[in-house]
Amino acid sequence: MSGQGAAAGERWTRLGLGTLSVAIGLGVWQALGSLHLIPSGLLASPAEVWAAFIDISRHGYRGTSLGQDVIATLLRAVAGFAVGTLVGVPLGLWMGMSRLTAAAADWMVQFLRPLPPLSFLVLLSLWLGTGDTAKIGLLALTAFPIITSATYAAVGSVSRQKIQAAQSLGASSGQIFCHVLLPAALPTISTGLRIALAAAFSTVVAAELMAGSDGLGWMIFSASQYLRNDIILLGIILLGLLGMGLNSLLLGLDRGLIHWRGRE
Amino acid sequence: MPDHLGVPAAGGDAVPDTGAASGFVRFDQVSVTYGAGTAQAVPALSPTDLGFAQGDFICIVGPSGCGKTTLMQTLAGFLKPTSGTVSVAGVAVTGPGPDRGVVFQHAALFPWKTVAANAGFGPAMRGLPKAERQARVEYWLNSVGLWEFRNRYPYQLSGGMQQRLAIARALANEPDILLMDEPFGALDALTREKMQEELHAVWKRRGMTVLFITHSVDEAVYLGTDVVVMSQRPGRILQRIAAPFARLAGERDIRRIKAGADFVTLREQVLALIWGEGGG
Repeated sequence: MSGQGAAAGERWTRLGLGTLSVAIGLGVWQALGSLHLIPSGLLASPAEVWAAFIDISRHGYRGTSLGQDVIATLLRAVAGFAVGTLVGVPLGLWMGMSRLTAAAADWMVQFLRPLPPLSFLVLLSLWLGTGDTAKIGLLALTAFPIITSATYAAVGSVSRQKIQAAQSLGASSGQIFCHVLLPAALPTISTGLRIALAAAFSTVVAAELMAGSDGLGWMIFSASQYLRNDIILLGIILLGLLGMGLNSLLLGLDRGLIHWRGRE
Repeated sequence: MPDHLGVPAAGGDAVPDTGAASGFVRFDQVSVTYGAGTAQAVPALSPTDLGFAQGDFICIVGPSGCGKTTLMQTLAGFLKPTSGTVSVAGVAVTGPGPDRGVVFQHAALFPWKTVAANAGFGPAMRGLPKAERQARVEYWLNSVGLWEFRNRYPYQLSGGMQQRLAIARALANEPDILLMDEPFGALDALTREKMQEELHAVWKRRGMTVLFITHSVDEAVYLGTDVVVMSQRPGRILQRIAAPFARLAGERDIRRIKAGADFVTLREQVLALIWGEGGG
């Protein structure tokens, strides 16, 4: 079919252009160093970053292996996101179904949403110490208002006629919730979850600036004190790749499970 | 009033005979005002009496915004009348229920469920035995010609097929009354006439009561045992006219009926009522 051919062609075009732009980016980066446009003390070259990667993955960085750092960061991000989801989704659903709950909670959620999460950092470390609890708490606080708002909006946008149709077919409120409201709201909730995960992930580095001894954020912060910008860049690249991976994981789940997204 | 157009007004006085005195379904002085008690109150439906018997096919026709959907929604139980009561078999309507199936203009299907699961939604929610549910799904999907699509999803069907599925979904629940709100409004002319024929066939087979909302006079005159003509907002019933063509369903071809002189005469009579109202 020509339609499938066109789709496959577009996929290759996207893959090709994506690869090309990464290659050009790497080329420019290497050229900046090779042509001495930027002193190597300020910008490590791709080759130096690669060497740092090989070195750290063999010997670790200041007592922690690279795997430990990656996993520590990943676990914090996922744990904070999970707490935010476990609080945010039920609260958003409840707000969507009860005007009183919405009235009670909406201002708080809208107040929290635009606040920079870092503004809580000091308070959280005062209350919860500088361990993982405070870090995960910060990420949860980042993710939760985003997830709550998305879920609340998702419930509000569910077609009234679908609910009326279910009522006329004899469905109870509980059945309408499970079989109509939740699946109808799921596409918007899922989008909110991906945005919240990105936000939580982008906060994890800042969270790891608090006292600690592992995680990619800690690695970057520590390397900056030794002016090891090869390691800083390595940390940034790994963080970016991890973020991309988490996002495509959620996107894959969304595409696999929510087949009715955007369809009537 | 339309009297100067030579339309025979049933009853011959200011109050049209709407069959309210008796009936399986009764609207007693039902009125609806949106935002009642506020500064923006909009009267949508004047106090209305209407009654009809079991097995009637009532078509309500009128200009856009005349309150015909509002009237239907009070019977569906989606809307509480501002005054008056709606009752079915002597029992007041207090909310939606499976005895009154509803088909909307836009199918309002559940795209996360398969065609079969959509059709079997009502029986499943009401906890019917599995064998019974499957039998009903098979029967109704077959009768609307969608059995072979049972494992697809609604968004994989055409608009006409989606509307047939919405009808099958309502009928698989075996309601006493079927409420249809411009169900064929979004369909092309050819599909629409086919659906009209199919609906007639199902109605005859099941012997159910239908309340059908449309703004197409042609559709109302063809489908209904009774055509109820409503005025512009705030809606009230101008006249109720008996139509003979529904009883002919299955015996005569739809095009032959619609091209017949008696059909054209009745259609023009109803149109004159609506135009007379609009012009005066």
